[in-house]
Amino acid sequence: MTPILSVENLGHTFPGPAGWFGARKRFRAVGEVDFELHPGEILGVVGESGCGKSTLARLIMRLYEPTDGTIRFEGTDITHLSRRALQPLRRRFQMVFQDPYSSIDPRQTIAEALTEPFEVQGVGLSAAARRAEIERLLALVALDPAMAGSHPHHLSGGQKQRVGIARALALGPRLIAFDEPTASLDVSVQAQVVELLLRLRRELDLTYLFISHDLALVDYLCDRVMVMYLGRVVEILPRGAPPRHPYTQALLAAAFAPDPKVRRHIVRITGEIPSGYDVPTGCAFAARCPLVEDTCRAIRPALVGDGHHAVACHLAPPIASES
Amino acid sequence: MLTVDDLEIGFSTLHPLAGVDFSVARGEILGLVGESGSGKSMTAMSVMGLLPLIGGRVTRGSIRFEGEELTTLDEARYRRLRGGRIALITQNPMTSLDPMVRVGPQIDQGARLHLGLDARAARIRTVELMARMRIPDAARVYDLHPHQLSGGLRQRIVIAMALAGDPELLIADEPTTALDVIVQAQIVQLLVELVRERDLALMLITHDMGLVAQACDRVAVMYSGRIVESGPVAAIFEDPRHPYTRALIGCIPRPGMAEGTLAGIPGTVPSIADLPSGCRFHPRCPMAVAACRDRVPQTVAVAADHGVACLLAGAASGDAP
Repeated sequence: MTPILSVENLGHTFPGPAGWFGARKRFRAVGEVDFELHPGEILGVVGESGCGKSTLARLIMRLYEPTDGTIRFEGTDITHLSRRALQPLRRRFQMVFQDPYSSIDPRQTIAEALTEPFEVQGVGLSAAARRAEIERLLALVALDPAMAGSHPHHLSGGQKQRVGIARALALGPRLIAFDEPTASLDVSVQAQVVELLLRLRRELDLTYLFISHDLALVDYLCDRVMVMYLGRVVEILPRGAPPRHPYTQALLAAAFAPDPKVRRHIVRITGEIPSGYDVPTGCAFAARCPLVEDTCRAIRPALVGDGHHAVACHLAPPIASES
Repeated sequence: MLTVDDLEIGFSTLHPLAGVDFSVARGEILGLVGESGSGKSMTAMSVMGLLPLIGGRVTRGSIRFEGEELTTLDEARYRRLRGGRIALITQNPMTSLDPMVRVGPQIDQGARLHLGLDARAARIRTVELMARMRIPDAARVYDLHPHQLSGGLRQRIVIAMALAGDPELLIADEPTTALDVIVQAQIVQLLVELVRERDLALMLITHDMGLVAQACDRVAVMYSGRIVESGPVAAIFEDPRHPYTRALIGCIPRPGMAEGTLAGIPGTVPSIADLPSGCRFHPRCPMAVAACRDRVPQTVAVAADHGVACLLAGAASGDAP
């Protein structure tokens, strides 16, 4: 099966502020990211803030210009396609952002917000077709058709996020990248949005890249999970597989289990994620790792695995031993 | 230590809290949970005596702290309590910290104001407190400004500030929401340790049921200005009696859950300007019967220290709603 998305050695470095003697420090946001996304799959991307997960999604969506590597979408190399060449392809990959309040123009009605993608793409719609599209999109995300004439401030956070999703669906995409789409919603609303995303994937045969810091949510929603630390992938694992990287293990241990019987108060990881200005030569996690050895500080571990489960750690037992 | 009884507060004709009852004992962590708009932060503001600041007032009920009635306390005496025996930790450290002032002296204030220490003694105490907050290199960090610190360190500074006046009751309003998972766990671990070693009472306000399960001894579930269920954390998670508590628990993904089983709660918390009659949860409740629309449910004890405000609370427990 051809992957819908294949990313090779993808990297992005932001120019930092100019130094005193003209030397510009560079901020390495993402580096050496390799993965494939298959049709119908949901790949979760997790990590702490500053780990590069949002930058990664924006690179793939071509909102930032990659400084290294290749992005292939349905076999086409889109890494450096011009705006014009990219325009028709954009119908097929869309992004939904975290903040439903800032992603819709407050002066637009919901109907206008939903038909804007057609205008951007130069798709002419007759008045009847326009009405039908609005109705179809609202129905897809289970919103009341009567909402078409409302403005965003009349909607709840969950309803606004549904409008954001409907808008991403307007042009019939194959791939949608979600950047923390439920982070600003109440759990009661989050649960509904997550179920909506699962239903839409089934009904419309969609593929998702789902960025989140919520491990429990990612574990529920995603088929595979990619864990990032300081701009690099430290582990890619299938749902439910036991984590092998000490960082993934720490993330999992730190997630609050909703069960008072499994209390885990021991956090072995100290400190916080270092800055992308000073990427260490060895393993980026070495400074916080409870298992660290000399090799870890000297040599950066490569991501090795078998296509299902891969890990970048000198100390992780070989994947082959997993059965 | 803190007993809130039938608390009602008003903003002109609106009543965001309508009969809130709960208590926190010394050495205990009480979780106050609910969706946004349920009145959790209003409850914190009420206990801190900050309602007049935002144009509200207590219209009924009482807040008793170590036997002393707070609802009728004058502002001068409240000032001595606030930041002293009762301290607040807010969600966003940047709203509690003055960006122009070095963090150390900001912590000093509490000890100088409430414990009467001089500058030298306050500084020594602050550095000790910062070290206890596991702030590395505390003596150096003392002289830094808030913007030079990471989010996790800032929140540790805010906790140190809250502890500076040697409080007995700590109110933490979503203290870890803005932080990353690992830092969140570190901060929660620190708070739990502090409660145990100093025998504090902690009121932990959160929307995160996972955090409640991991950190709290008792839980009060709040919905639309009322406590709908309260009890020991084990009882709340293993035998939730109120349909709202069950629904909240059903919203959290757990390992091994099958697709389509995350329930969610239809609708939203009602606006205080347009409150439903009877039980305020009835329009969203999967079990509601006609009586729920007409009668305000009173809190009944279903077990020792486990109270539920639901007309159907006597019905079989443990069933899926």
